[in-house]
Amino acid sequence: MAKLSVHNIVKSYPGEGTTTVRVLDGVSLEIEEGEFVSLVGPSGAGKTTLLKIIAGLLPPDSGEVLIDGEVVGLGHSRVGYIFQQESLFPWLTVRGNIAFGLEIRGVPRDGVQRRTDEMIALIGMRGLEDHYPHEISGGQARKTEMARSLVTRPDILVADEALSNLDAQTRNYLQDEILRIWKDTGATVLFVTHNVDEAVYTSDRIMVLSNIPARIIAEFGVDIPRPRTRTSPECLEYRSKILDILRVEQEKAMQRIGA
Amino acid sequence: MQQRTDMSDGTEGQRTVAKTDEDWQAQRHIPWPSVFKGLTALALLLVLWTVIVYVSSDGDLTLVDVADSFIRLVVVGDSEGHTLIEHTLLSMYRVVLGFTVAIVTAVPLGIAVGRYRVLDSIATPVVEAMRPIPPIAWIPLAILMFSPVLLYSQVFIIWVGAFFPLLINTTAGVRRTEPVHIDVAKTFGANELQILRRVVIPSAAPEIFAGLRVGFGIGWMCLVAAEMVGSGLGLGYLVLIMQQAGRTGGVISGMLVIGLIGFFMNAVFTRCEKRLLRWRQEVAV
Ligand SMILES: Nc1ncnc2c1ncn2[C@@H]1O[C@H](COP(=O)(O)OP(=O)(O)OP(=O)(O)O)[C@@H](O)[C@H]1O
Ligand SMILES: [Mg+2]
Repeated sequence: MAKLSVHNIVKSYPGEGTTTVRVLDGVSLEIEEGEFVSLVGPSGAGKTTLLKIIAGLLPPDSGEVLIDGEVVGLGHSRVGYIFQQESLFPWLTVRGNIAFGLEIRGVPRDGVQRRTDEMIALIGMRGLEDHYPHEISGGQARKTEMARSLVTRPDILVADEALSNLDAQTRNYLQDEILRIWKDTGATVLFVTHNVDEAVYTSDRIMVLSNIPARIIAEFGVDIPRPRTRTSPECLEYRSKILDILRVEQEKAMQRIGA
Repeated sequence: MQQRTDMSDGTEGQRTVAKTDEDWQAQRHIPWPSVFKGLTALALLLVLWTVIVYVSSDGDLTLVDVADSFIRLVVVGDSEGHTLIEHTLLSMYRVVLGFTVAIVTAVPLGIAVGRYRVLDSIATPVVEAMRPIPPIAWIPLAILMFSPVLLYSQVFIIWVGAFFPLLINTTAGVRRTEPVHIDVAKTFGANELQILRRVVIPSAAPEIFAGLRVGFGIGWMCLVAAEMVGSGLGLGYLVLIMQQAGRTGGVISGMLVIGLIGFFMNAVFTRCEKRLLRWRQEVAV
């Protein structure tokens, strides 16, 4: 049984006047336990919308989300979420941010302490745990967000362009970090990105979302053993195949916005 | 100290030495600029004083005269034997009472109005209708409304003065809560109460604090005005009867205490704010 299955999700937003804009047009996907799956798609394709529906933050118009075969609804809390924009609480330290989810769940204090310490060690942030978010770098903030999502051991981790807005070196480094943390925790990951290289470098499988109304229009199993070389011929081949599909969709998206 | 962020290894040792050196100097160093500023301010005050004395009919009002009436007020008291300390304590008692009532009502209401759209659409027109009335204009009505018990009317006036700044600031702060922070809490299964306590209130804290500071200032001002109108003891009342008795020194003594308490409370709020909102100081000093 798939860890996560998404069946026929449809979602529209109110458009101008009385019209509605259909963003997701029957999206279905399945992810196995422990799999690392990327979702790529043109800008405005509804990637964030889909993740929010999966995480129970937004109701779909129709369709359903199942985790371990169980239908989950609005307000469920089985998905750890790394948001597209910066989302650390500025009034909490690194430690406070990581501990947040455990405290909300009512984990006893020594448990919170222990698991927060483990997480701080896992992301290599020892010595920075008492810093406030404005006192750490963007990459460190991303790692802290990841730790905050993982500390409650969610069934699935979804990450929404977690590594955009970072410089190339930090991004490459964090891709390796994510892979390492993924292996250490055995998490199931759904990773949204607009960076095809990143998807090819990290994922077991890559799904491509079309322009809106969006569906999944292609899927690639990446059969390259890790660690991968970003510039190897295999990687580049996947890359060009995916980019070809995306280029067409991106053009449609640009036309839609331009018109 | 701001430029110490370079990470080049070569200067590491030097930087450490330089820092201790500077810190050592800072302990002995007399801060001339601030001494100078302090002296200038003092000089300006004295000039102002001289001008006021010159303009007023009470020509021989020196610092010694004021100090004299101040001490007389503390030791002997006014014509009825009530000392300055009694007046001060009574005013403080009233303002603490009124301000507490204002906090207890305005902050929860502000949170609710800021967070729930339904309440916003009901409360905002009411607030906007009441707000243009200067709090001092409420004094006569307050005295009539609570006529048997003067304390209640004074508490009411402080409440009116402090309530609106507190409410409006709290509401603004709550509205500015980042939706993504609320989403984060929801992904952990937070309930509404947890969202309020762990996300909404901390993120509105800076505005709530600003509201406290402004609210207290206005409440204090209103109380002094109310005491002048509504009699009974208190600093406002003291200033009034000193004026009626023609004791300029007494008037100034009362004013000084009123000003000092306002200043002191403002400093207390600022201190608390700095401590509690350390996360917000984005510019390192
Ligand atoms: N709350 C909303 N109300 C109305 N329209 C919305 C809302 N949120 C998103 N949309 C629209 O839905 C579409 C999909 O948005 P979404 O944020 O899911 O895209 P995305 O794929 O995450 O884009 P990006 O890559 O730029 O992050 C966009 O066209 C957007 O304008
Ligand atoms: Mg998005």
